[in-house]
Amino acid sequence: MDERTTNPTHTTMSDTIFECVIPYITDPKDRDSVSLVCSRWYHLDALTRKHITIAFCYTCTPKQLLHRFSHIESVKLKGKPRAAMFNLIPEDWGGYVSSWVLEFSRSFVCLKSFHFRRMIVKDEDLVLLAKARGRTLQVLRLDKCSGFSTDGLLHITRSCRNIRTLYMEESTIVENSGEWLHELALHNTVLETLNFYMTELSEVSYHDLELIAKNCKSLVSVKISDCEVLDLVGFFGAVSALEEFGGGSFNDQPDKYKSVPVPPKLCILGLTYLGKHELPHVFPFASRIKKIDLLYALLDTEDHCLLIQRCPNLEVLETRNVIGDRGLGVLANSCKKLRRLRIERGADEQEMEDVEGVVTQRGLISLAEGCLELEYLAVYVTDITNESLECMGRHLKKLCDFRLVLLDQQENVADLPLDFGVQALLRGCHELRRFALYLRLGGLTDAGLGFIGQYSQNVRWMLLGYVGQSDAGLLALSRGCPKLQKLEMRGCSFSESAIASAALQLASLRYLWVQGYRRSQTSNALLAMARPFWNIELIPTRRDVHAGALGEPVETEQPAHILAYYSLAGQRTDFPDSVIPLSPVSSNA
Amino acid sequence: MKSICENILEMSAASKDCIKTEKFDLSDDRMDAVSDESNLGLFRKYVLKKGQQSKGKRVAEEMSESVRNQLRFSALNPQQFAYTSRPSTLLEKHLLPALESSAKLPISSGESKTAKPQLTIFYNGAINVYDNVSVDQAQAIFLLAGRATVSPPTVTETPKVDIAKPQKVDNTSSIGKLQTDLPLARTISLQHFLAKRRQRIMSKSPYPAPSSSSTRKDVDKEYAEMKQNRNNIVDLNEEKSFSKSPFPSQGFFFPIPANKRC
Repeated sequence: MDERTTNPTHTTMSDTIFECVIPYITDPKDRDSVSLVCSRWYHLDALTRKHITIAFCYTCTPKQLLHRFSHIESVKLKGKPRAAMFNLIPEDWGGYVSSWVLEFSRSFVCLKSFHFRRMIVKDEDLVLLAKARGRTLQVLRLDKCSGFSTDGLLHITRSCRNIRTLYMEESTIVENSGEWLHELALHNTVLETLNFYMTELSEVSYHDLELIAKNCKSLVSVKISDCEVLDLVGFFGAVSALEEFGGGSFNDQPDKYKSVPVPPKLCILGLTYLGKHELPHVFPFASRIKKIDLLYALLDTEDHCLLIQRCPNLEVLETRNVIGDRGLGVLANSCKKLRRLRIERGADEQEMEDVEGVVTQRGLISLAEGCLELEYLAVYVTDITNESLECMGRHLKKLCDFRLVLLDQQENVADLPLDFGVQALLRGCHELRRFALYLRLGGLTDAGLGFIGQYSQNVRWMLLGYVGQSDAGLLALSRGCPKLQKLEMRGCSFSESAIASAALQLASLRYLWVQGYRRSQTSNALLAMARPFWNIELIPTRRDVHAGALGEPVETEQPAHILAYYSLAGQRTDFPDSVIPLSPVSSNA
Repeated sequence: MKSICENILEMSAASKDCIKTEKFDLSDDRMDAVSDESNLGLFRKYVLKKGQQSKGKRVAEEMSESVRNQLRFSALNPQQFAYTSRPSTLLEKHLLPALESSAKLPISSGESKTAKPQLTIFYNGAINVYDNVSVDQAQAIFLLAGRATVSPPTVTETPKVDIAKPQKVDNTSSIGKLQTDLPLARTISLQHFLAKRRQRIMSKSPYPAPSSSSTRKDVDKEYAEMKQNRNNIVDLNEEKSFSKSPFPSQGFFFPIPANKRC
């Protein structure tokens, strides 16, 4: 107390200084640390925090968010488990934005940027948002969402004339009209990003797109659904600032595409249904390309090689395994700046893809030796060896995110188990934060799981598929992984009690998802991990009908899931019939 | 019927498991607070919920391989199967008073209230029902079936793993099972793309006539025709908009890369 009276300016000065400094601290982990110093700093952080990501929307209530951070300008909310992207989660599982949007529209005066990922968004929510935020809404991202229609979008584009980012990639949208785009064309002059890539929207007028291009001089990124590229000639001519384009399709004769103007700054491409014959049209500006998405292109291995060798500035590549080992070799030789590489799984049938279209240890080794800047690598391989993993551990020192999936195509994978390769990889790649390993029976022993536990010091997220031999492996893993916050497991034959023990032992674990495990007749063994604030939910085995390869209805049996997570909000109440919550402390015992 | 079976199976196992939980060595102090009462309450809530939710969702006629496997599994566990002839324990009576009346339901029978134990065998798509099968007879049949099955009895969902096997395991037989039990999932967007591409290839000549696309010229001519048709359709609309789908299902088609075996 005496100190304060003798130096009255001391505390206030440091506060002022701190108030100036704190806005520059943006990393959420740093902010967390700041808020723990003292109550004054806690409140300062609360007032000045600009963005919050709620990694799982059921971890807290909107009111709790309001009490903690009332002045946020930007929010990102994630709903359904990641498995929803693979069609493994029932559509009505949950993740409704309604309660959030209600609170956002009532309070949160500074909020102008909304990012909802894998959530259910209804038209009413969009209407409310449009009414409440109107001209202040700047960013709306409906990322892999469902539940809304173009009517809801119309309300947004009609009322929010200052919207800069309208993003709906991979969302499921009920289409009633193309009016929403027309409204955008009529009123907006500040649009920077427009994205309805991988949606089924078709009532979209390219006159409107042209108009948007003419009016919005800062339009930098446009990704659309399927539409004939030739119809976009006017659009391409008008967008002078465009850097990113995705979507479109090539239905006409190849030489006609010569006349399509190429915006001068275009360096990010995702051309759907791009074929061999249209490819040469990309060559003239290929040296500018920084990011390219060939996931939905129709290129074979040779085409990949021809394109990639012309892209020395390539930093991000996404494609299917049709790239093959040969394509990876070309990539390693030509693209020294490569930071992110994602190689997805092509069709299973041999006839549908190029014969060369397999990725094996050969491709990985050339990649590791050639692309030393790699930070993100996700790859579906047909064959793999320990040596290739060791090689990656030796060379790819900047790797933060590594995901390897071993496909079922090749029955005999000679160099299993991958214990020592995985050990070497983890020991070599110190920066690794995210790690996924999806193998098969015999792919990784319990010792291998122990290595994972021992050497993943910084890993925060892990996906394990078909690894291990017994519960001992899981327990060995759970003794390590000090920073593991989110664990997903699929197809591993661990028992419920092992899963529960692991959940208790993993020091940082806050989210657990498991599908495919040794179930008991009830799930009582899981209750061993019951504790306050830890919600446990089950999705029991169910029959699921979805569209097959030819569009025919296919019924499959979906094995049971366990989902467990920390929450300050108590047990959720909006679960459908397919979800059974097991609450740690029963309120009606 | 299946749902009732499931319930009964779970109930019988649960009565043992519940006791196990109470003895479980819970390290955390907070665990001690979770009382026996709440555990039982939870268990009751869980079982009742499960019963309500799975009731009526499965139809007996639609027997899939997995369901047959489930029953095979239950058949190989005489303990559960023998439930029908064992009186309910005090625990069960305390937890589930309603169980009294349903306790007499035989596990594998289509009828619910019969006193004669029936044995129903689902084999290769056919259902065989045997009346008046004694417990010993039933157990003998189960053992036989157990010896006959190749894989160890596990619940369908998990991969059929014999975890005592040595490291270099022969994955060949298991892979097929892995694929059916829990096939490698694909992202939705890729699924759609591959389906669309397959449709295109399979109906590559949407028009009859000489259009097996053997020569480039034929293809061009055919294409020009289609483009003409598309333009006609488009003109009917006020605004020029994207075609619904540039895929053969609507009569569209785009150049096939030369090396594709179409």
